[in-house]
Amino acid sequence: MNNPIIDAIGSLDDTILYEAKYGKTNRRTAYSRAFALAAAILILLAVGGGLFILHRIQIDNTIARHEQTPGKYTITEFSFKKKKLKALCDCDVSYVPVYKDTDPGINTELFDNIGSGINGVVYADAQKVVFTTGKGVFLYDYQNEQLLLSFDIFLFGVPGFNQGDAASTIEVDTGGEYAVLTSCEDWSDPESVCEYRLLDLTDGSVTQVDETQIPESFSPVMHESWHYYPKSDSGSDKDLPNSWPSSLMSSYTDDDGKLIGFYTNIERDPDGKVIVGKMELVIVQPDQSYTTQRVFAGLFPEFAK
Amino acid sequence: MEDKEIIQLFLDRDERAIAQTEKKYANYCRVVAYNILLNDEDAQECVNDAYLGAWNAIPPHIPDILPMFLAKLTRRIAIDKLRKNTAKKRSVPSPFPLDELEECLPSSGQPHEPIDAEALRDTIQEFLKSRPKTERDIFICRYFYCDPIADISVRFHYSQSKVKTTLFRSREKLKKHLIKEGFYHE
Repeated sequence: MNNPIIDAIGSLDDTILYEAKYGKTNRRTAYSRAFALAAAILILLAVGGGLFILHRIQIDNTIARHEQTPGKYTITEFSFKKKKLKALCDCDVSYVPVYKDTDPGINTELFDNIGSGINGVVYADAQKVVFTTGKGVFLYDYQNEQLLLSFDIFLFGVPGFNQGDAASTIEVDTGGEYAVLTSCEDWSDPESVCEYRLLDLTDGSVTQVDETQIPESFSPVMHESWHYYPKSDSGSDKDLPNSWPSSLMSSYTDDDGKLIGFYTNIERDPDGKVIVGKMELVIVQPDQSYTTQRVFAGLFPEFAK
Repeated sequence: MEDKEIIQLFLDRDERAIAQTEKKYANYCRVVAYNILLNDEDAQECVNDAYLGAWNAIPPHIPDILPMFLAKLTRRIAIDKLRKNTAKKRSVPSPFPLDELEECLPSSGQPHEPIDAEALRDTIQEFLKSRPKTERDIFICRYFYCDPIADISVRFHYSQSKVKTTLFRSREKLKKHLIKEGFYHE
């Protein structure tokens, strides 16, 4: 009993003494561990299965709708690396969808209620595009004509959506990892207050950021893209429709001074209902001449006319 | 009442400190004492002495973790009582958990020189921190709290056999560690 070790143990640090008696044990019963493992597996299966099913539905919808549409167009891409246009494919596509009047309520149909505009930008490798509609953000591989990802815009809480206008633009960084969604109170006002959200294209996570938090890899013209106004008296090899909007969305200026971007075109019937819309890839030369190519026509064939 | 409020009562020399301590920690202290003395009356006597010890110690001492302070106090008082009972050849519980720690002493049992208690404590603490958490916790439950093997096996979901084996190996390793650190020679 006169062992000094006994007394030494009695004066050990309070924390390890307390933890030994009242802390969590590392051991679980075999039963509770098995139960926890089984529950985790079930949850993973449920989530994974649900996502897979949803994803398949989206892709199947796209492909099915695409196959129903007649017409043939050349989808052209601009290679930022090679600094030239190249034709991706001569694909059977239809017109870009008719835009319905937007419903301010939440609509769970992915391809319904898409809002009045599509904005998008070509990836640096010019094989995929990320674009937004009033419903969501979509990552589309137009070489393989596959919808790769979609993100429900309502999860983003982005103001301006679902208000009948192309309320957001999107930029993608050169690495293809991030996209920035921009939403502004007044798209016609360069000084308008805007909100930015950083979308991680690898996992779909969205973070609200301010301008200082946008990754440096983004194009320096990103914030100015929607301010661009092509001159109406510029020479061109193709006349633009009268409804040519005054700004390009999501445009990019390469090192040669060419501006590549998208514009959306909307026509409404006398009741104000949108009856046709289109999105085209536009390439504007430094001398302000420009060419256009209709793209992404096959995505929403239910609206085609 | 929160521990910090009880401590404040001690600091204010408010006698309600004892009542509140008893209200919150009476059973806790009694278990610590009983595990050593295995006698209700002796255990209660130790607990009362622990309250007095706390009253005398606070202030100037201010415990970081009040229950640990009380547990240490109670344990020390209980072990002192046990030693007195042994010296007076009164009956002592057998087997007694702390007797197992005799195995941590080399067969000669003789230290190199008088033991520095603080150094010994620090060495044992260093040893315990180097051990896996479960092994450390089992060791402390047995040799600080003097918990019965059966209680330890329930808490850690080990068989009693495994608890005994774990303790045996810990004692062997501690013995080697103390020899290596120069507290004892073989």
